[in-house]
Amino acid sequence: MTQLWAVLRKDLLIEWRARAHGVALVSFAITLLLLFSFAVGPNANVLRAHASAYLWMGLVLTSSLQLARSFQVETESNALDTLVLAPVSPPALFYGKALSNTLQLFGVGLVSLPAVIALYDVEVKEPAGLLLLTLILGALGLAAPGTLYAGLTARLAARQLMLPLLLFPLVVPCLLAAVKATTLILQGDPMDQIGSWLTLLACFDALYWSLCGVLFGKVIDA
Amino acid sequence: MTPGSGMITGGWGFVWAVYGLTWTVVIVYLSVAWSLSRRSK
Amino acid sequence: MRWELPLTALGLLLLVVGHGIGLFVAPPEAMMGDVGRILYAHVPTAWVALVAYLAAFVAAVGSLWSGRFTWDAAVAATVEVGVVLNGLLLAQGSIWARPTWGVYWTWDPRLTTTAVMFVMFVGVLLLRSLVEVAERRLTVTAVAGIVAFANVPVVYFSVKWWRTLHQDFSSPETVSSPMVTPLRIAAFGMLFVAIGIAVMRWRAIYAAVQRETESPALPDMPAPLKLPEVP
Repeated sequence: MTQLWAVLRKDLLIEWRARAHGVALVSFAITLLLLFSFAVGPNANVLRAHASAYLWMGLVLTSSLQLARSFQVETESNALDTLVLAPVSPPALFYGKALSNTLQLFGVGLVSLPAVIALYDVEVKEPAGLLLLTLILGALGLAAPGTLYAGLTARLAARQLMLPLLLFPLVVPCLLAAVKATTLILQGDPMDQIGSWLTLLACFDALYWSLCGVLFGKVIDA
Repeated sequence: MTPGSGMITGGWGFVWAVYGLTWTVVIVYLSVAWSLSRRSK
Repeated sequence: MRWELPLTALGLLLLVVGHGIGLFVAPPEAMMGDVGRILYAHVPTAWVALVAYLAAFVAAVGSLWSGRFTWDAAVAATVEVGVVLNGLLLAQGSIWARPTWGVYWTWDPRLTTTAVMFVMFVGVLLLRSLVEVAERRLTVTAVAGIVAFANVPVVYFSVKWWRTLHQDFSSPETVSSPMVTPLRIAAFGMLFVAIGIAVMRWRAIYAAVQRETESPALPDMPAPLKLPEVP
């Protein structure tokens, strides 16, 4: 447990020290939101109807950059070998990194929210706390398989392409559920469906947080 | 799926397209797999 | 040795028989008429593709567990067979959808899951082709394969849930008896052919991995130097 905490602290500290990169990541996410508006056109009704889709697509696309970077930090100056040699158990390493990635993605999502509300002229009809819950569950869903795949592709020359190629189809269920839940939160939920979608999201998270934790040890061995 | 006279008439073009495609894939893949496995002997 | 040959031949025979009955003897379908005959090509392909991916999953677990290249080659072979069948399945489904529903694509849970599966397992093959060290390749392929397969039911149920909120194109679940026989024959035919192909691919892939990993022969020791006699 303390190992996990140490890994988490280390990763967050590195990100804090290089916070210009965090700013760049957020700017990227917001630029994507702008691009969606330009691509779709100034039709306020269409933009409002699909606002949650744009939010989550923005997050998914940003995640591939953020996740790749979380391992880039290790592969530069061969830190990964040192990390493996250090007495950190692979699960602790995985969960520490995945949690750090979750928090970063959640942060990006959080900052994107005001932009989404402003650009697409949405209201939040259901309690805002649900929105935050959805963001966290979605970030968890992206981070677990993302961290595993980032580790898998870290040493490949084609990692910038392979990480999204592997990750994006995998997170389809997470994307579906997150977008549906967010749409209902923004537009109102007359038939009380948000709970089902969040449950689906939580199950996805539970599955991948266990599976990827088990597999990660093999990934960093070689 | 139950037998009947069918509300869509004809459509044999689609049927042949599917079967043609299926068999082409099977034969081609089988031939490639077979020749590669012979070469590795 | 080479038992896959008679098995494949049997499979081809069964496939011809199954398709033959399905095309010319079996009755047309109630709603789809003759277009419904696509069933006898499409359903066996779907079933065998899934069996191939399941075999890949088992092989991947075995591969990670044992670290042996026999298992690794099995993962590669079965994923490859699965991907080919999966691609075929998407094409068949698309062609079938056109006369039946008027569109080339529909977001029905099965077709959607098939598309996502295809991309995921193509990703596994691509990943495999990018790793040059055999041991690392074994690990990477197995992990990617396990995660991809684990995702299949998740995708299926999420899309099913997602779709129930929209207009649903319900695909028929049950097949009635004059149509089951050719379907079963074709399904076994497809299965045997696929197993045959998978074994052939396994042989070729395993041979390649063996060539790659056998230690290079040590060079023969040169003859000892003959020093000139000291005068």
